[in-house]
Amino acid sequence: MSLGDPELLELNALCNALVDGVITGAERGRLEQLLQGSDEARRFYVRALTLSSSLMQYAGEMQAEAPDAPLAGARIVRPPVWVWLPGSLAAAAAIVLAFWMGWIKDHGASVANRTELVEAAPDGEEGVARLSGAKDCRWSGAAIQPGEDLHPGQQIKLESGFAEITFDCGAQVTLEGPAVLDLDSAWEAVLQRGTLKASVPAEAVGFRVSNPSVNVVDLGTEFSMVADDAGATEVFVLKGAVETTALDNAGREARPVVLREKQARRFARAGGSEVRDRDSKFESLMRKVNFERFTRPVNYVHWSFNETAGELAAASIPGFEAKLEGAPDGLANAHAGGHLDRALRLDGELFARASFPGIRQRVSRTVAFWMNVPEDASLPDAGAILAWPLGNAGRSVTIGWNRNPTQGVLGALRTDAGRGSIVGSAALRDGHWHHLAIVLSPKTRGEQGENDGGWQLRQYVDGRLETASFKHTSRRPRVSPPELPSTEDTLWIGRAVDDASGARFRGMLDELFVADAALTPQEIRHLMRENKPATAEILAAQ
Amino acid sequence: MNSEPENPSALDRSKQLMRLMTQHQRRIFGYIYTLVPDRHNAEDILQETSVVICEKFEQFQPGTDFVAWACQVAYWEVRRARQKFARARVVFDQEVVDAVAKTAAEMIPEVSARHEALAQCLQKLHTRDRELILTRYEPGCGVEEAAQRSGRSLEAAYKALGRIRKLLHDCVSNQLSVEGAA
Repeated sequence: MSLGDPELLELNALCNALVDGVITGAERGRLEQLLQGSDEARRFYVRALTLSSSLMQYAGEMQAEAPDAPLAGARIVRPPVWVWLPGSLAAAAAIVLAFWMGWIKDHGASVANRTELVEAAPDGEEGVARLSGAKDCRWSGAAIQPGEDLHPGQQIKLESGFAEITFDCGAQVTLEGPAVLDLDSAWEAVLQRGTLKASVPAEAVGFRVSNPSVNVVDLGTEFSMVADDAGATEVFVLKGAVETTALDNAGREARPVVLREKQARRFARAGGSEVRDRDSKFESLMRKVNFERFTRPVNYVHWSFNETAGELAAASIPGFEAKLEGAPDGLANAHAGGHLDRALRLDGELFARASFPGIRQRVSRTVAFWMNVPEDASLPDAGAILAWPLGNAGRSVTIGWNRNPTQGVLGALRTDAGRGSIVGSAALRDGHWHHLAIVLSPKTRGEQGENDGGWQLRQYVDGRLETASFKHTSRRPRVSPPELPSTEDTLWIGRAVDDASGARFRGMLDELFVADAALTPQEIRHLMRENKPATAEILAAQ
Repeated sequence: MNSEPENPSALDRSKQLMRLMTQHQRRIFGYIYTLVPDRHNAEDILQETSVVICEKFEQFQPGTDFVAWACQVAYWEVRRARQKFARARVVFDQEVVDAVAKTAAEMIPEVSARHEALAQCLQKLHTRDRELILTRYEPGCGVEEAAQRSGRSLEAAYKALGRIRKLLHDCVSNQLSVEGAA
């Protein structure tokens, strides 16, 4: 689309209104339309906006150098530092230095050895939710396929129909078109407009939906939000309770108000009010949608560890039995009372191996199990709980508890997969049983020059998505990747793939499941509560 | 652990990072501002971006285009910060942000040249106009302050600012075309 003079004049006026903060909603819509439809408009816009950012700099320099003096000479000389943002840039520079010096201090040895350099994983590449159900969906822009991963920052624009989005924290959101929803993380979203219904299990308490007029924080519930184009939002609590915080024009938060079951409230910039036609709206929001759900076949292998004696732990699929080894004093104490029936007691020397054809393949995988680590477990007891080889380049997956306090919470669940690592935030050395689930999904985008795009790692403790206290991806492979002891596809229980250090795990393990898919939070909760895989019918009924 | 802080290569990288950040922060801010046209939000994102650049600086290959790399980092920070500025009226749809981000990345060299040319164009302005526009953009000031200081009504100030921006835009374009032809 080529712009004529009238469009250019209009675009100029819109850019002025934008930078001066007086643009209306309708004008913004028109500006978006022009920017979306014309490269020429976008170029004009970039020139206009960067003219303003340049003027900010020059104005700042003038103020810093001589506030009332006219410009001297033919050219403004830029100072060596960007003075027009003294507060934020000084802080940024301080962070630059502090971070850098801290990094040198904390990682001096690895820098000196140059074997492994650490970088943060770009979160934008990682999924935080997926489209789990759809009914008559018409999308604005690119269509979203059932089962597709959704990323932080992604905007969901549904023209009509119903879409069910399952967040990694376990919250399920039904969006009714026309609606626009921005995904911010596994725990939060912004409803720009339209109708949303959220079902939040106990494990996902704290899930938050916000928009320009209200923030809603779930307290274990089912709630709905309806946001209109004028910026007003109605909140309905179908079950449980939510905390609502009204926002005024300037984004200032009012005192939070808890809404309970069957209560509703309208939030607008002018203030809060009762919802009109409340009962009929409640009735309409309670209607169940029959979704077409994304299902995929999932294969599970299950070790219950219910044996009372012997060196073999039976598996749900013949050929996958785990063989106990490394116990010079016999296996008398290897079978103990567990979370359910019996469990495998690992004493810091005993370990087990199970033949698992194909486990090294680069596919999504979930492991889930109950674990009990004694309160007095010390660093030498922090061997791998589970480990298996990954690919053929000497890499592996190792799951255990974190023994390095400089890399996250000591004693928290830790997964190292290839060159990526994640450490959770809940310390597990308390002598209690915890249900742990680790989801590994291969990233689709590879690092430069490599086919290996790394892994997205998610950890659940007692059904709740863990907040990572540490997360990194090593940039370079180790100088000498350790050779695998064999080419066998083996799942190791109680020790690492590379056993050179001899470190073993001390604690108890029960009801181990390995699935060849990235399980959903619902499927993980079902394993935790029922100790068996969820069927599609069970999930649909939830 | 060896906590020797005087690792020469690490310190060299630190200096290199500081030099690149000091040299190019203006360009990175300009890029962010086109995606998030609100000064305070853009400043916040610049700060977040600076932190991420520090964290990921080992990924940057010396000799390649630092600004292009930093703008990629900034783009993801903008995406991540959507909720924060979703409450402002200036937020664009993601598709628009993506389209503008692509164009802005392509125009980084041109925008740098325009910034330099703007210094000379500011000199050519009438003193009263120059004072108005620079007051408008001073940290902590806005259109109201600029109107008050210049003795204009608010409406007159908006109109004058629009006119001055147009003058500067045209002046910069003319100057670059003259320099390009020379």
